[in-house]
Amino acid sequence: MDTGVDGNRPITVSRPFGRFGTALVIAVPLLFLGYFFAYPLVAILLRGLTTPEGLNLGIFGDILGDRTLRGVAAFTVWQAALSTVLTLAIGLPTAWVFARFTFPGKRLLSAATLVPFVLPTLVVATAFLNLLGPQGLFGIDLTGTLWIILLAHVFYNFAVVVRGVGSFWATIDPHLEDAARTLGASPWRAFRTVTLPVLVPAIASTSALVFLFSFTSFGVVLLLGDLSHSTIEVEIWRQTTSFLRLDIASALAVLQIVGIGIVLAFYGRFERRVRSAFRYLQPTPRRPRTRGERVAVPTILTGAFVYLGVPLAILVARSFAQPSGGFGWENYANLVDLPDRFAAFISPSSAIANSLKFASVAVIIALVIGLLAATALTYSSRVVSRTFDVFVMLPLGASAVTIGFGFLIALDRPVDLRTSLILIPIAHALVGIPFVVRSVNPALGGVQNELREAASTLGASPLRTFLTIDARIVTRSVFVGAAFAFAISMGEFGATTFIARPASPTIPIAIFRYLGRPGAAPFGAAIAMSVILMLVTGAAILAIDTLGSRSDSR
Amino acid sequence: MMGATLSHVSVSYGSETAVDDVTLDITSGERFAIMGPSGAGKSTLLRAIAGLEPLASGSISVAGRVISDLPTHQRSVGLMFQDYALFPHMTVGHNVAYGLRMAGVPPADRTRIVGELLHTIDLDGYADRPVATLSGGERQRVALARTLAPQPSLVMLDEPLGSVDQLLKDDLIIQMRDILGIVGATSIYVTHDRTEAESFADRIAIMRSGLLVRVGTPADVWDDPRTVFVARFMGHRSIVDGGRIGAEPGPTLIHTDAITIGHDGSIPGVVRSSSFRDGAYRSDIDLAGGIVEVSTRHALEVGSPIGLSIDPAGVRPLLVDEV
Repeated sequence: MDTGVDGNRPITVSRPFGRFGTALVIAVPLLFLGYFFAYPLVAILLRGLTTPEGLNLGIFGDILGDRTLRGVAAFTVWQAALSTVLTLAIGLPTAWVFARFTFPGKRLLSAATLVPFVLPTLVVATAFLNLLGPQGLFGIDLTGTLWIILLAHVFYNFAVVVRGVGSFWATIDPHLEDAARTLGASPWRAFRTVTLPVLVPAIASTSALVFLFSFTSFGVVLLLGDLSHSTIEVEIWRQTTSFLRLDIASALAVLQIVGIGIVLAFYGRFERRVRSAFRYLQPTPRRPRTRGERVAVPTILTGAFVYLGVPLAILVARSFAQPSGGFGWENYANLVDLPDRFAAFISPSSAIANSLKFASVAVIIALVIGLLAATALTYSSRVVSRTFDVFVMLPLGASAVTIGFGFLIALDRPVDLRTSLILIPIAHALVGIPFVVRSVNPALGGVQNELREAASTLGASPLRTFLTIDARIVTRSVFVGAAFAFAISMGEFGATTFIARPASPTIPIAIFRYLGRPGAAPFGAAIAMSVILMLVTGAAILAIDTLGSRSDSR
Repeated sequence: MMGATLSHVSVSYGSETAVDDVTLDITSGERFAIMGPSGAGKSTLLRAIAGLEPLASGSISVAGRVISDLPTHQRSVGLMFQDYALFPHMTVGHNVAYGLRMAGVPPADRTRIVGELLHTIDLDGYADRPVATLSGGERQRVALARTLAPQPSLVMLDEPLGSVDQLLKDDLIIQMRDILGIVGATSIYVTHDRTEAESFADRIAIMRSGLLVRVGTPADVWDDPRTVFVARFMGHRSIVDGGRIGAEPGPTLIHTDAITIGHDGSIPGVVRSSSFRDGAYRSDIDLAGGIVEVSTRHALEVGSPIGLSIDPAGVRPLLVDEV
């Protein structure tokens, strides 16, 4: 049956849809991703690298010769590196606590670490603006400094380290460190000579992700940075919308794609090592036992949750500070009926309605394409599935702005789609598809071939086997994927800024516009809307965590 | 005094007592085994001696030095783990040399000592191999060598043959015994397997629910287990009510070699089962006050009545366990 070489993937692949059906199952996601992802990417490359006269690499000379743009490129790398180092330094102790110990409320706290990560970056930016901005509570204005950007990046990447390193750490045999201790190593030396080297692949792959997320940071830098604290991502947007310099924007996008490619290659290398590394044990977390542990565990947890909780708590509290004074629901009431002069001609209620509409369509698209892709991955030969897997996952690495910008310059052929509202949910779905595939694929691949064989010996046709066995087993993970796609769509900002029409703003667009208006009423409305967005995405996470953990213990 | 002394050692997990007031003297160079069912607290006791679990009370001294207040790495107590815990990112040589490195032994001496140890465990030339390439038996020996390399004052082995094939066990246990003899180490061997403990140890202890319930040489403990639990754990099957065989009432152990079949004044019983095992037919005889096992050259007919006589020299009264 199973050689164990590649998990549960059966050697003999049954084809529940016949040969034609299987081709169709691959073709639809392939065409979709080809037209909406690969083609715009190629268009950016062509636009950036060529002029009508031919190859044009001079534009890169111009960029590197421009002091501002050179500064942007340097700052992009520098802040990403700093963000990565800081996130590791702050996240590793918490990763250790979650990997090694049990404590009351662990499940809830574990889900809570995920909230900042899935929170729309614009909400994170608003929270830090509220905390440390010009109208900040502490009277300190850190906007336009490196520090506030780093604080925000560490805030939402924290979960990446805790989950990415922590889950690997949990499977490292605790006896390794014990053995080192009995052989004469102090706790620190045991960590440095044994645990740390074993953790290296997980730390490296996680660092690559954090670097990538900070490297392509848009909402946070747009809101909290300034001209000298800007990323390539923001600069692409600025060159496009403020200066209409599509050539410079394209060239910048090409530079960024190259950077992303390098980081992804690095990530892939170590991710493979993580997966192939020894998995010694089922995790066996225990209660803190020694005196040191009893001090360290609560201290680390408290520190982590103050850092993650305070910005959000203060955001919620601030949403009740009324522009007219006192505390109450005024900011929320304004969402229903905000005076136009404050609202920059964006009605909050229609932004909410738009976001819900786009998110619903985005979920449907992401599910259809994602499920077809996951099915194709499961039922095609290994070579095809490996290649296809990389292709499906690529939108995850591409930056939001690249996707939006690509739509803008590419999708006028064969029909001009650029003014069509359908582009918004399609852009959102592109980011959601990898999550759907990643949620559904393990469940689908985990369906044991014996079950299918049992069904067919009991008289089920291949199609009925699929419908009665495979489809039933993956239902829960489909909901997980849908919740991800929904949360992503509700919060998506970078791509939407390029393709949203003034008449059809989404919640994040509205928040951004309000923050740009003077006065307490729009600021309050932005905060109230951020809180709503936070609750919506928080609810999605809760659903993901509940459904996800239940499907694990199936 | 060399060797190791535990006095009134207790370890607890919250309200649960994992090791309960254990007092024990192990002499220098002695091979000592602790056995008991899983969950008895054996591994916890070893971890407490190594400083990996905090003591609730009591003190531990090894080689004349009180170690219970020292951190693990200053105790000079070696612990070999059931899963070996070989460092996966290091070669065999670096694994064995790890303790020497921590002790600050110069590289040249490290290489020499590692070479000697690899020779002792019959793995010459394995120094540069990654541990992932080793077989189960090889891993076991490398783990032993790594534990011995820094010459700890006390060597502790936690189920060291737990994951080794039964067929290999007998060889490995003798090998381990010999190696520990060569280096003259004081050692504690923890296992749930009686035969392992017996073939390894000079003295054995039986642990139950955190308590050491019996300590002695394997022969002493076998001959007079003193409690029903120890008797059962040592593999005795003939435990009856003493009143049925003319002894004091209460649980009583009859050694199998003290039972003979069909003499005058014999005690009546019924054959319940009879099967061939370890070179003879073993039959369970129901004495209506317990079952005894007899060993015969031929099978006995199940259901037939039988008379037994019992040599009083092979009868041991037992206490009922408190727990």
